[in-house]
Amino acid sequence: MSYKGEKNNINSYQLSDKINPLTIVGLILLFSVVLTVGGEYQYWIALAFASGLLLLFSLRKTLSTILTLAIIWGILYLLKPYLGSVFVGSIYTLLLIIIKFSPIFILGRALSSYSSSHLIAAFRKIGIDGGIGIGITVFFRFIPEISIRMKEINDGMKIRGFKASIFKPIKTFELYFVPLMYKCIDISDTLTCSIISKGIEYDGKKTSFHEVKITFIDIAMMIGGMILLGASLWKIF
Amino acid sequence: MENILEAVIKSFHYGEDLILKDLKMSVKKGEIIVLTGLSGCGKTTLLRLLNGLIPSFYDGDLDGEIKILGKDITTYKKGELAKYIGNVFQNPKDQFFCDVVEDEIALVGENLGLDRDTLKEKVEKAMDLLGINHISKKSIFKLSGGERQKVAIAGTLIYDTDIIFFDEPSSSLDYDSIKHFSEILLRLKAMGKTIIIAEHRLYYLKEIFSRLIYIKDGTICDVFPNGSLSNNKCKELELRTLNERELISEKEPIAAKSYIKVNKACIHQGKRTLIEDLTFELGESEIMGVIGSNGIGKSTLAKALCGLSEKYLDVSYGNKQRERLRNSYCVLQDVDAQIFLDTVENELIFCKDKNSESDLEKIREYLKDTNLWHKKTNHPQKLSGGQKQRLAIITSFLSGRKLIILDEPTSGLDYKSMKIMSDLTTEKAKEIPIIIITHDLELLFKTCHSVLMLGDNGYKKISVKGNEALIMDFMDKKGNLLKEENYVK
Repeated sequence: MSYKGEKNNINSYQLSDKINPLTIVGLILLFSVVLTVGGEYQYWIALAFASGLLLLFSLRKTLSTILTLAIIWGILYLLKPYLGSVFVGSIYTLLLIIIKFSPIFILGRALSSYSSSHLIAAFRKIGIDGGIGIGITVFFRFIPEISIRMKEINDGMKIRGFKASIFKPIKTFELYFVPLMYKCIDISDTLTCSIISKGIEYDGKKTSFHEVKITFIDIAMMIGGMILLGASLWKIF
Repeated sequence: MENILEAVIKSFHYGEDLILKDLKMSVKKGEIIVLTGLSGCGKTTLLRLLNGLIPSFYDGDLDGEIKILGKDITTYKKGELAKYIGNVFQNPKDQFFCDVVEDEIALVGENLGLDRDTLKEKVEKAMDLLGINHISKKSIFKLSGGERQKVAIAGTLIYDTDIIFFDEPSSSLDYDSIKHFSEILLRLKAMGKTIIIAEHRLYYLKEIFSRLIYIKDGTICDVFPNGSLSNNKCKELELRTLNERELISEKEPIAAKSYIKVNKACIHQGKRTLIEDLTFELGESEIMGVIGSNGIGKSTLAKALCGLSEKYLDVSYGNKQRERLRNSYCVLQDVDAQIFLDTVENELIFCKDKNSESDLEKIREYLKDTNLWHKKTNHPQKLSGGQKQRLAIITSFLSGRKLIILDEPTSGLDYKSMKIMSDLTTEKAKEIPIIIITHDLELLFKTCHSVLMLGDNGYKKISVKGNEALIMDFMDKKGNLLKEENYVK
């Protein structure tokens, strides 16, 4: 059976071997500064770079990301003449922030393509074995879980006769949020029990099932990111 | 033979509540021990004490001592117990930390420092033993219940642990997967593993357990060595049946006039057609079971019938999706996603007119019948699994719709809770027909007048009475239907 285009497929395994997930974490940190202090050129370079990187992982994800960004740009264009209204203005600002930091979201999508085991292995390699590494890994582990649960809640709402409405944002948020939070607490309890019983707290030496190396590609990508950061800072000073 | 596990518990409290008392047990290497009893009897707490999750994760006050391999459990270093104990939790999907099968299996070895080559070899061997090599790179989110169980078991074989704990392992499995699971247990036993299982369903364990420990009110009430427990004794103790072949239908077929008609329904999952040209009728006050192996399309059928999928279906209560949603109600497998309000009583009052005394009286009656009266002001999401299940079912009964579908309403329920469920359904069916999707044959024979069997080679609706053995055979033979003349009309 083939799982082309899905998470954890053979292609992403090969890529994971070539690009260290920590490089993407590093780029997220660098880009967050670049996008805050940098100009238009740096923004477009960061966006092109992040999209190109995501393309290496998944064509489907890249296309859906580009389409989403195009829709947001379209909405921004349509909203521009009505900026006098406070409501429209706040939505416009929110969408602008999303567009501004979109390269970071794209890098996040690329990072989410790695399996939890690869992420843990990468963190272990640099001596981060506890809280931070596990926290980030669990975060990415929960992303598909949340989308599955949201769909179930949506079905539950339809059966019960509850309707989501943009005119009742607080009620709608409550309808989704309360069962989702309880479910997440439930799962995190079981997950914690499970990883404790699998020896996560064991004090001895730990190993990794996957080998995660720092390669020439990682170094080149980090140098590229640093140059972009340098160019952004150069403009300020 | 040496004792691999010993427990002497004078008392165990969660806060003020006394959960276990005067409990002594010892387990020898290679034994398969079944812990059973009604929900809330203390078996899960006992399991958590034995596997060290109390006090590692759960708090509580223990007056007593637990020894693993002759050593006090509290003297083991943090995480060290993973070398000697493996755990398979009730819902294996929620216990997976990694998102790829082989990574999850390797996790315990990574944590305990097995070198990569040994780890790869052990993972390969464990997958071989359980026949899951073909799914080694599959996402855990795409596994069936049986596959998840095998992945969780494979994880316990990496460090060659001596003891494996299972918490209600059959609750998310279909009939065929349960059969496979009992074969795996035999293989583990042959490998010399000591196995401790907390479980309600007993039929698949009757040949393989060494001792069955019956727990009641937090203490061991009885211990049955293999061969000494009869089905009559199970009935007396309100336990699940030991022999499914002895089950007979408690419901006569009904000949009521047709109330619901489904005509040539095609059920799809994405682009794949799961069920083709399904036609059946439901009589007034008929309870129909739906059986078939996992993946055959039972839950997808339920979703289509209640309007969650399929834009158009030729059914008597509404061809359009919106009409079906308005006229039918499906209690989904995961009831958490159907509970939205802040208290148990508000959850029910929402379905009815809060100014109508007769409606409020009905709600009171349901709450008392389902033992939820004392919980009426609690947040519904904080109820136990069984209580949430009962709440979701009575919510559906109060919905006023024309058809109710219950998807696996008794998975993980003890006999007593299953009986409450069955009685409630029987009572409600006097007003409207009910469809029950289930793998639980005890529920099917106790509650349903008819059964829709979804097989690989078609479907057939028959009465349950008189067809008990053939229904068993259908379950046993992975959903192969027999020819028409074999079934009692």
